[in-house]
Amino acid sequence: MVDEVAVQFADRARPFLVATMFACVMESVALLIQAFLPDWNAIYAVVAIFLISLEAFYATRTAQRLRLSGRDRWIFRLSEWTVILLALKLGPYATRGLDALAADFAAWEADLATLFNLEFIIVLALAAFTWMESGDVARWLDDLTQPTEAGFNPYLSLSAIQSLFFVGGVLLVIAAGLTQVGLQSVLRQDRPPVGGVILNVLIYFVSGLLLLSQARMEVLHTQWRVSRVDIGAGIRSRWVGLGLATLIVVAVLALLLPTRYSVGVLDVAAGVLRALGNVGLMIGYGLNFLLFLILGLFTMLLSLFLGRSTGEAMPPPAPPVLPAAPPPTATPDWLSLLRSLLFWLVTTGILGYALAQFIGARREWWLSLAQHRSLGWLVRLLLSFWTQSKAVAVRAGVAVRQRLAQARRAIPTPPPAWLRLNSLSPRELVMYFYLSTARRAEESGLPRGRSQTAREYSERLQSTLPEGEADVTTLTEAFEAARYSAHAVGREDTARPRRSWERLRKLLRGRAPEE
Amino acid sequence: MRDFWGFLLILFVIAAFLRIDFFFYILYLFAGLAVITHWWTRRSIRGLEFRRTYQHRAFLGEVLTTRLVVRNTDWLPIPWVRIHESLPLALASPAFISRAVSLWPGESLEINYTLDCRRRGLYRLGPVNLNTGDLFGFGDTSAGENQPHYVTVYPKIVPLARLRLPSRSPFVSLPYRQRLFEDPSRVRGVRPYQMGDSPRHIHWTATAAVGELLVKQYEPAIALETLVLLNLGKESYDARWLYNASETGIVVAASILYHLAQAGQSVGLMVNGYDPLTQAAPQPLPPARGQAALMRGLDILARVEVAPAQPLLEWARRAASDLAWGSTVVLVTPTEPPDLAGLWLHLKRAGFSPVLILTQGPPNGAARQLGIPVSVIPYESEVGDLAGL
Repeated sequence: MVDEVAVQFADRARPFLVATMFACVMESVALLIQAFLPDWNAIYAVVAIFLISLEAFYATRTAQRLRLSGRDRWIFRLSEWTVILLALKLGPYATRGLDALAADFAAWEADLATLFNLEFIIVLALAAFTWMESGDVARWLDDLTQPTEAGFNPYLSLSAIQSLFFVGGVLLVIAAGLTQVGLQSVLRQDRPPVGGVILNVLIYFVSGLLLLSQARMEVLHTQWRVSRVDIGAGIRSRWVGLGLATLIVVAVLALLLPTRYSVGVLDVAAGVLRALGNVGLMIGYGLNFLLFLILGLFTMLLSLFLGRSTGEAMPPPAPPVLPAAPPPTATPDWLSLLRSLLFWLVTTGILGYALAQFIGARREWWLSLAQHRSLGWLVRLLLSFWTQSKAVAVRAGVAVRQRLAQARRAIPTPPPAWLRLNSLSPRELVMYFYLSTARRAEESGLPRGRSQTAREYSERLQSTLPEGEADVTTLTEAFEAARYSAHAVGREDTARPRRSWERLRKLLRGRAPEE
Repeated sequence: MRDFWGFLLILFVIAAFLRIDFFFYILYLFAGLAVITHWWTRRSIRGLEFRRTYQHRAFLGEVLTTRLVVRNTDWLPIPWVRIHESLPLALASPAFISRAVSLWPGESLEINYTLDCRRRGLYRLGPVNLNTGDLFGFGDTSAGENQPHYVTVYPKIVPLARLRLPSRSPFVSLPYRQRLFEDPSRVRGVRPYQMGDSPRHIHWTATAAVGELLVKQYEPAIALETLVLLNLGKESYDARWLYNASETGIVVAASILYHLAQAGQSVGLMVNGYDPLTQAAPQPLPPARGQAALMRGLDILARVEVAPAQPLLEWARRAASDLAWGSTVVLVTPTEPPDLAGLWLHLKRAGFSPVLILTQGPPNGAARQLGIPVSVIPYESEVGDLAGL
C-alpha cells in the first residue's frame, strides 16, 4: 500500500522534476541572453519553458498511450504546436496589456513578418529544444519499465537520461558562471572569487539527482520483474526517503569543506614544510629540556657528595651581535593555511581520481588515437606512462594486501588471562577458548608446532587425550569457523566450545607435563 | 555512471576558471556522493549476515523445509539487496529463490522454502548470492557464499520382508554353511528334518512328541559378515540401461545393507563409482555393525555416481581379500561377464559365500553352474521378486 502511494507520487512528481530542471537551465541562459538584449523578458521565457516541458511530457505520454501513428500523429503534433505558438506569442501580453496587443495586431496586419521578432524567435528556438528533449525524457522514463524482451533496453534509456543530465549541468554551469562573473571580467584573473548560493543551479542538480535515483529504481525493478525476483514491500517508499537523506547528509558534509583558497598550492606546501620543521624543532627542544633536567639532577646529586664549589662563578659570556632582522613578510595564519591545504588536498584528490576514471573508461579512444600519424607518438608515450604507473599501483596494492593477509594468517596470541570474557565478542570468545586450551596443552607438554594446522594439532591432542576426543573436535571446528570463515558467530555458538573448553581444562589440569 | 567523471572534470575546470565558490560546492556534492555511496555499498555487503537452517539428510520422498535468514548487522540501512539462492533442480522448481528487499539496521529477512526429495543424491544448496548497490547508480557490489552446503538424499530402501527373504539371515539357501555360525547352546526352535541335516541336531524329545523327525534350530553364535560389492563401473553398463540399472543396483545394495544392519549383523560396502563429495572413488567400508556403519554406507549410496572404474574382476578380488573366512559376498552388477567365473571360483576356494544380483542383463549361467545364487532385478519395482536367493 505504501509502495503504491510512493509509485503514484513518484510518477506524478517526475514531469515536474523534469520541467523544473529545464526551467533552471533556462533561467541562467535567459539571464545570459538578457545581457545582450536588456529588454528581453527572462521571467516570461523561464515560465514558458517550464510549461512547455510539462506539456511535452504529458503529450508524449498521451500519444504513446493512444498509440498514435501516421496521419493521426501528425494532426496531434501540429495542433499541439499551434497551441504552443499561440501561447508563446500571446503570453507576454498578459503583463503588457490589451492595448499593446491591439497595437501589435495592427502591425501584424500590415506586415506578417513582424510576427517573428527576435525575442519571439529566441523563445521559439528554446521552446523547440525543450519540447524535443522533454518528450525524449518522457519516453526514456517510460522505457525504463519495459522489459528487454519486448525490444526495449532500460539501461540505454537510463544512460541517455544520465547523459542529458550531465550535458544540461555543464550548460547550466557555464551560463550561470558567465552570468555571475559578468562577461566583461571573464578573462580577468585578478577578479575576486564569487561567493554565495546560486539557487537555480542547486535546484537543478538536486532535482536531477532525485530523478536519476528514481530512474535507477525503475531499472532495477524492471530487471527484477524480468528475472522473477520477489520484490519485498517497502523498497520504493524507503528508496525515496533514503535518497533524500543521503543527499542531505552529503550536502551538509560538503558544506564543511572549503570552497576557496587564500594561499596558493606552492605556498601551502612551503607552509606545511615549515610547520613540520617547527614540530621537529619543538621535539628537539623537548628532548633538550629532558636532557638538561637529568643532567641537572645528576649535578645536584654530585654536589651533595662532593660539596659546594668554593670558587667564584664565571661571568656569563657577552651576547653575540645578531644580524639585522629582515623586513616582515605576509605569512598566512595557520587557519588560512589549513583551509587552503584542505582545499588543495580535496580538489587534487577529486581531480586525480576523476582523471584516472575518465582515462580508464575510454581506453579505446586512446588506442585509436595512438594510430594517428602525427599525434600517435605522443599518445603512445602517454599510454605507456599510464600503463606503467597503473602496473606499479597494482603491484603496490597486491604487496600491501599480501602483507595484510600474512599478518592476518599469523597465529594469534591468546588474550591475557586477566581479561573479562564477557567483554569479548562471540568470535573472540571462541578463539580464546581454543587458544587457552592450546596454551594449557603446551604447559602440559603438548605444544602446538609453528607450522601445525589446527586440525593436525587436534589429531595429536586426540591421540594423547582419548577421553577428550569429542571436545577437541568440537573446539577445533568452532575455532576454525571463528578464525577462518566469514560466517557470523553468535552468542549461541559459544555454548558448546565453552563446555568443551571447561572439560579439557579439567583434563589438562590433572595431567602431568610430559618429559 | 556514464559520463560522471568527465562531468566532474569539466565542472572543476569551470569552477577553477571562473572562481565561483558554489561550483566547488557542487563538485564536492557529487564527489562526496560518489565516495559515500561507494563506502556505504561496500559496508552494506559486509554487514549482511546469512544463516541457513536445514536438515542435512533426508530419505526419499521426504519434504524438507529450509530456512534462510539474512540479517543486516550494520548500523546503516541497506537501501536494496537482491538475495539469490540457487537450489538443486532435482529437488526444487524453479531452481532458485530470489528476493529483493530493503533492510533497516538489525532487520532480518526470513526465506522459507521446501525441497522435494524425489531423487537420491548429494545436492548443493546455494550458494547464496547477495547483490546490493547505491540509490543513484554509481555502482553495484555482490558477495557470495564460500562454504558449500549439502543435502544428502538417501536411496530407496525396500524392506527385506518384501524381498521374501528370512528376516534374520537372508542367505539360508546355504544350509551346509549354517552350522559354522550356530551356537548349539541357544536353541530357537525346531523344523522338520531334511536330507543332509546332521543326526546330532535331531530334537529327540520333540520328535517323540510329534511323531516325526524334527531338528533343532540354533541362534547364530557368530555374526555373519557380509560385504556388498556394488559395481558402478561405466564400462559394465549398456548406455541405454545405465540410469535404470545403476539406480536399481543402488536400491538393492541399500536394502540389503539396511536389512542386515537391522538384524545386528556386520555388513560392509564397496563401490567402484565416483563420490562427488570426495571427488574420488568412494571409501571402502569394511564389515561393521551398528547404526553408524549403516549411515556411512547409506551416505555413500546416496552420493555415488556411475564412473569409469578398474576392471570388475580385479576390483572384486581385491575387495574380498581382507574378509574373514566364511563371509558372504554379494555382488550387485548389471551383467554377468564370462570372465566372472574365475572370480566365483576364487571366492568359493577362499571360503566365501558369493551371491550374484544382476540389474540389467540375463545371467550367462556360469554362476548358477557353480551353485551360486543368482537373481535378476532389472527394475526397482521388481526388487520384491528377489526370491532366487
